[in-house]
Amino acid sequence: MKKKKLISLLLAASLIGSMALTGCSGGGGKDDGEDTADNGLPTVTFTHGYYQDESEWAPAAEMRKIYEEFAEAHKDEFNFVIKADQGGAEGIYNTALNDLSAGEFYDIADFGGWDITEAAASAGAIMDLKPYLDADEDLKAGVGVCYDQNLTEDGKIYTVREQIEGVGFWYNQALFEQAGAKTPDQWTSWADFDEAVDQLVAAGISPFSLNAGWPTNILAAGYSQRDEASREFYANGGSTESFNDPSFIGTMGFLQTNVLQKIDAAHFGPGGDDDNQYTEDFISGDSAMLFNGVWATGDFADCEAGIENIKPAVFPTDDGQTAGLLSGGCGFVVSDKLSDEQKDICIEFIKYMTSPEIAARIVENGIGMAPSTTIDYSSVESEVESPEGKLLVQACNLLQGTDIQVLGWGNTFGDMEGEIQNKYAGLKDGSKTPEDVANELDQVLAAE
Amino acid sequence: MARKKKILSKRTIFIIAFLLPAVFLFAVIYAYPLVNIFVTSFCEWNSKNFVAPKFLGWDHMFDNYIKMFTLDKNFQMALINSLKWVALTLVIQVPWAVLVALVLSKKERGWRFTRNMFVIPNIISTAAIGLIFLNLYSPSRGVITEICNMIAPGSDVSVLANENWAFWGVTFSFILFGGSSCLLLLTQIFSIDPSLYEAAKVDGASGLQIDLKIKLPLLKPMIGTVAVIAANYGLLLYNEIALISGGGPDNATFSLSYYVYKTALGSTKLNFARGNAAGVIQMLLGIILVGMINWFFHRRRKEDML
Repeated sequence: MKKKKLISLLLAASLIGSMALTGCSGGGGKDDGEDTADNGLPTVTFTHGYYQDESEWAPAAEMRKIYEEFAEAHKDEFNFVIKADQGGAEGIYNTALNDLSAGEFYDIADFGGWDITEAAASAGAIMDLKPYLDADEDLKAGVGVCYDQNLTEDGKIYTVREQIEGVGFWYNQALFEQAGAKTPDQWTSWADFDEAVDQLVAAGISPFSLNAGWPTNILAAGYSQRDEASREFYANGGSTESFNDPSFIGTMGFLQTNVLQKIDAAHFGPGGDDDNQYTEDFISGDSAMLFNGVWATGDFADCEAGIENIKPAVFPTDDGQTAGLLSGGCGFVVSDKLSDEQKDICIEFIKYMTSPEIAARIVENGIGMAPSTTIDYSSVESEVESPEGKLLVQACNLLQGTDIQVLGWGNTFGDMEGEIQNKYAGLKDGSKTPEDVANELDQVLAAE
Repeated sequence: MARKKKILSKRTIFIIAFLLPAVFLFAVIYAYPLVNIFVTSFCEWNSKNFVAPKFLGWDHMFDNYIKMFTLDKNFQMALINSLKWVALTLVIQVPWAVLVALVLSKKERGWRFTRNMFVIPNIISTAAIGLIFLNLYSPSRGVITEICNMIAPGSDVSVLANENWAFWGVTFSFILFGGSSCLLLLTQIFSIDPSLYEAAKVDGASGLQIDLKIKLPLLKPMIGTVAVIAANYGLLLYNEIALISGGGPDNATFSLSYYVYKTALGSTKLNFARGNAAGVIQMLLGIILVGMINWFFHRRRKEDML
């Protein structure tokens, strides 16, 4: 009996003990980088989401190389510890949310478009980069559109990026010629778009392939730049109090009658935007236009449509201008809890990442479009050998030269992007009118 | 007597010693989050005050609930859908599992194979099931569109793109998979004393009469358990929606669980307070549901005994 009691007591004690140990075991090893600081130099840990193997995604390896070169160049001044998060940018964002609850934050991290700034700024965890940008003209030129786009209402800039989402669209010149349609480089208004679409349809060619998300949003954003009134509504899209605006209703009407009802239902799924079949249709030569960003060139090498037939284009407006979508979004974010010395290291790194040299490498290696306003794309094009690389540079050049440069649909409307794209299926099958869409979106706004 | 008391008190100490870890774990893992969810549902807590939830004040403490029930169409849709899925699991999945269990219990040739086939979907992850159905419904890759086109050429049916059909698309991804329930029911049937069947046969009862008059009444407690499990599954539905429809089209397939995720973490506004308010509603519904099912089966049992 005594033996049983003893065992019982031991079991109970071990349960309590293991719980206590579990509770005490957290918190260790978050910043492995600190351990390397035994050389007496200041240490900064940079976290990024480019974890992929080179064979899986070559740009990731190039980005890591760029980071490592910076660390190597400054190894006698400070320890720049680089960490790749296997969860990518989304993983970094989720970790940051958890860390914020515990009063912590990365030293510096690249959030790759996942916007942490509002939550982190409300917690007082991140530093304002604006004073540094204002004090350094080169740095300001390097971050390009990010300066204005990421300026908050209270006059702060919490994030800048080394690359931006540069979006126009791509077209298959051979299919346009086959249909006898005017190619997008000759368009001077959206009437030209409509005419070309009708000619392509009449020739039995699918003008574009879409899904209920990304590509349709791009077209909606492009059409929203058609005139001054529409541009004004779009510019204030994030803070709009009502979608019952003639220009927004006009955009939805255009999507319904001039876009969605011109094509088959295929790939037009449930409201998600994860079906990539629209890209497949374009690169296999089955559709004439692809609404996607400059990075899409990675899919064009050796494609059935023939890379020689594929050309970049930007959107026309009805007042004789051109428009492109250039979104900075959330990139580098720096902890406000760092020492001044560490903060200077972070700024040095951001300056390096947005320098013309790195910007050129980002473009030349087909990684994306750089925000820098100082890049001479014509000279970059001569450095690039691959056809898809040349296309990327041409697309960036076109976008840089547009008269109107605005944020993309998602960056403009925030969470309402998802609500808007939810309405595309109803617009397509005619169960919703543009006015219905505006009213339903207003209901969502009212519930916030 | 005094010695007995002493022994009892020692026993009590042992019982408490053993219960303490469990009580502590319950308090930390369940009770604290539950209280936290309940309390923060009366707060403003989003990306603007991410680390410091702010009480809405006594005059406005129900604002999150009022907005959900009066203005938030997504919540209303989620609530209606979740209640529909609860009803459908009770009306379709549970009777279906009972029927299959009754048929299999006759141990006709191939019953083991049929039982295993029926259970297979329940041992595959819901994520994999979701992907299978996503591909089935895909207009470009799925067979559903093909079959519809054979029946009505050019119809190009896209199940998940239509607000009315998408609900049924999600429903059919789980409603017929009652394998686990069937196994529980089968175990219960096999535990019935065979002499009852023999006596019934001697009295001239047919197979159907044995099913209806002996097996079903004795199965009632297990049917109650199965009904609670199935109804809860319907109420908490998430994986299938996240993978198949993403809540769409036009949020027509939102469930309460999916609403909680989208509101709290699936949006840049990080509206944890509203998400938690929906969580409270979901919890209350769950409690009411379990209570109602238990009451129903308890009452039926009492009536049967009379």
